[in-house]
Amino acid sequence: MKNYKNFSVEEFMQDAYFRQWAFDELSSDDTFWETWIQLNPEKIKIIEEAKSLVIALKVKPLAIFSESEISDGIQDILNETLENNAKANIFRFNWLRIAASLTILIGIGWWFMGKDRSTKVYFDQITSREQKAIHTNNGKKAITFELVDGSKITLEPNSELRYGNEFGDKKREVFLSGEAFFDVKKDSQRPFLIYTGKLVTKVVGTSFRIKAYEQDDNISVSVRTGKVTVYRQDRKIENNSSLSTEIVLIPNQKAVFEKEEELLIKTLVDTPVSLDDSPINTGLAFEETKISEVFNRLEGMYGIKIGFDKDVFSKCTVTAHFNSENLYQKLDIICEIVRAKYEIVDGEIMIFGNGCQ
Amino acid sequence: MTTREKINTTDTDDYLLWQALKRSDKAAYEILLKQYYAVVLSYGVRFYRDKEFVKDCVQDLFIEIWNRREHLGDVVSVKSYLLQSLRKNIIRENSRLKWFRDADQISDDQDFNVEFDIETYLITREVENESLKKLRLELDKLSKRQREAIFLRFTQDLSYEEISFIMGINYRSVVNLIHEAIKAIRKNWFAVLLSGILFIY
Repeated sequence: MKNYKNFSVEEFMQDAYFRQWAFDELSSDDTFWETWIQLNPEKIKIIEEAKSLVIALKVKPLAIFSESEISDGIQDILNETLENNAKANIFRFNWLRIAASLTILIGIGWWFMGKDRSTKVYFDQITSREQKAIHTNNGKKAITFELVDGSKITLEPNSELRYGNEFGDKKREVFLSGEAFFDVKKDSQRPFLIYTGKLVTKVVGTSFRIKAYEQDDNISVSVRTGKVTVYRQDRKIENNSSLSTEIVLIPNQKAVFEKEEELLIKTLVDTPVSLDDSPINTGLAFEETKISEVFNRLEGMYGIKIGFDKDVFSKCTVTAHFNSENLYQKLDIICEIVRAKYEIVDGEIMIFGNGCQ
Repeated sequence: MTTREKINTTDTDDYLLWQALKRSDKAAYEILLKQYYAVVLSYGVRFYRDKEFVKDCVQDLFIEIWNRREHLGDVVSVKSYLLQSLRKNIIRENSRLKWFRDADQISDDQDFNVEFDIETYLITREVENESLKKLRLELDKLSKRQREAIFLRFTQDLSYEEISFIMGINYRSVVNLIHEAIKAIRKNWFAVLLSGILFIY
């Protein structure tokens, strides 16, 4: 659900759903916008302005290609490139498209297969009395398979996924080296655990990215949606009381595990994304806006807490127009305006400065 | 509500499809082709009215992508990559053809055909007055580049970053092109609205 409350005129103008409404293209039983306006009467001016400008700038479509010309054109290209065997593959790819927003993208290096054998040893221990399932992909193309719990996995070349025979009964644990796409079936009773070297990632149903290449000094887990728990493997799995090494990540937060120091740190992802939206609608305009409101907006947009001293900054206002600047660029500009600095501390942003006159 | 959900997944889908295409996944190529063929065509004809010419350019583009699939880099977005490549090819081809046809009339200034729907909209509502004429005049004054930027932003839903990549101009210029256009129209448009002849709301 987008946070339309914070939308500027231009953001509304770029919102496809809003435009459909402005052009009378929504079905008559879709009363979302009428209801929204009733609930947010203070936004009526912005809505009016956006609606009228959208109408004024609507581009006349050039309908000069017919449906059949388009499908013929596509077929011509397919004949030139894939010849006749393209159709057979299309279903194989379908689940990927459907599950894309839920898909978990995981890339794990070879490191436990190489010099660090701890995970392999660990795997051998816990599964010594069971049958082990091993999926290995030594081919040149990714392979896709489904686990008994319904989770789907696409294993990239030179990758391996292992799990014990009891997978799916009480717990869901897998060991990964290489790279894989995970589409984890949601099941709050049985969290999905992914072991990568000394780092464990726990999932209930969410999307995130793991990078753990052998040549890198660290492993990182970046969260896009939902909640993810990350902890060091030396913590006993069954022992839930020992929470000291556990990190809970929310969207736009990242855990970095320094292999050498065995240090697990919480920070922010490299490029925080707006949570209520695709990257397209990131426009923001401030006109002599109180800094507390500016930070509020950014907090809402990125779901990241911004800490600052309200008394010190009480006299600061900001006038700035943002479009596709990322969060850090926005902060740089705001901080320059109010002569402050920011730091990322424990997955949150802290603002330091002496305030304004 | 489905519209909004769809928009949120497009980027991830495209990213995955693009990666799959680089690994020679035919299905991924076919999906991307079907998804963007018409979009790319309709962008192309705004530069050059000759349908067959544009069709050839689009066909060459998609064939080239398949042939070079293993050498493709990562892209900001698949859509902006396609539009930018087509734009480049059309402009190159067009000036090459012009050279053969009429060597005197080579111009770097590429036409971009965008007309606004507003007239049709107003005519169906049977309104006509002075402020409207002014508004139309204002719309007529918009440059080709402004029209293209507006088209890419509000019809194709692209970000400033993507537009700057497609049009080959810097980010600031894109922002300015669009803001200036909105400013010019806003003034007259609100005069129209204030005159009370039109109730869009």
